[in-house]
Amino acid sequence: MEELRGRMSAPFSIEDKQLIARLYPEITGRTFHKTACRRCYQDAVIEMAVKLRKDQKMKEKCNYHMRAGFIIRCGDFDDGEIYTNANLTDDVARRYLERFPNKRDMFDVIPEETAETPAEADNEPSEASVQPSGEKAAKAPAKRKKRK
Amino acid sequence: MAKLCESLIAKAIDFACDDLIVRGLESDGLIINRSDIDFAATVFDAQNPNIIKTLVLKTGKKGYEVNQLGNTPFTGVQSTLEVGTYRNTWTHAIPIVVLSNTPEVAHDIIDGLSNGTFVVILRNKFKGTNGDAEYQVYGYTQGLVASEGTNDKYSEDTDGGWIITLQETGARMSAMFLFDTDATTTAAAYESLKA
Repeated sequence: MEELRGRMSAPFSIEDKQLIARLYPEITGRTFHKTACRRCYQDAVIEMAVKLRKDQKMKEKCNYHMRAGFIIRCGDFDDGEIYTNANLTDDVARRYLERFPNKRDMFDVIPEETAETPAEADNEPSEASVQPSGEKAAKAPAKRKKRK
Repeated sequence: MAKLCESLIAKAIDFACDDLIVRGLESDGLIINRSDIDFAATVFDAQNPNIIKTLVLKTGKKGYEVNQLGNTPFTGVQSTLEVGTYRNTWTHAIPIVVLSNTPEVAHDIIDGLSNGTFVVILRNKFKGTNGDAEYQVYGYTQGLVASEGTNDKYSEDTDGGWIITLQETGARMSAMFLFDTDATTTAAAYESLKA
């Protein structure tokens, strides 16, 4: 990121633009729109740098994906915390769908449930606080099943 | 006995001194292909049918940002009463300026705007007391379709760009808004519609 910032005074090369387009969704969780606009790439680099400095980590990969327009906000789920695709984690999605199975239609990607997924590995009911799912996700990468 | 559909005002026409309306729109909005909306999943406010609480798109679909430059973005957006024989309706018009003219723009934007049907969400500068007046939805009931389009190579306004006016006619409601619970929740829901 520092290297990219160091090259901002000049137009980005094609390789740099491709790198920015690849890193942007990984860091911010949002889609990067490729344009011919030099400033857009500069803005993207600045946005990524600010986010990394603030969060001190990359966005946690989530194998679930909610349909556009749907967010999780329920008074009796995680104290009404708002979850969008930008901050959704596997743990939150799994707990939410366990609690509200009728909301499965609001997701367009739900990982296939296997023996090694957190859904079956975690036999004890989760507490209200969100548990980090990074380690469990690393042990058993879930297959993402795209809903039709 | 003849059936009557009452259409009555339900509140005094007054103004709030600490929340007077301000004119104008923010420079960014959202355009959605109307066929991408999951109408069955739409949830309206129980007390006010002009408020959409939940607007969800079909699986794999998303909305697209519309950004306008200038001090008065989306100039020309207006709603007009159309007097009908049996009932009156509303016509909503949204001019969209596209300050570019490339093969990609022609294919991915102009051709689509020319023949498609859309829902557009614009952000009023007037937010309302609790934020419920910010996100105004156009095209939900009848859809917005192109009613005008120009590309003037010597236009001093667009410098050779495009102006496409999208229009919804026969709309039953004067205005529809996207709002859920509070400004923060609604902002999150709006952002989640984007590509």
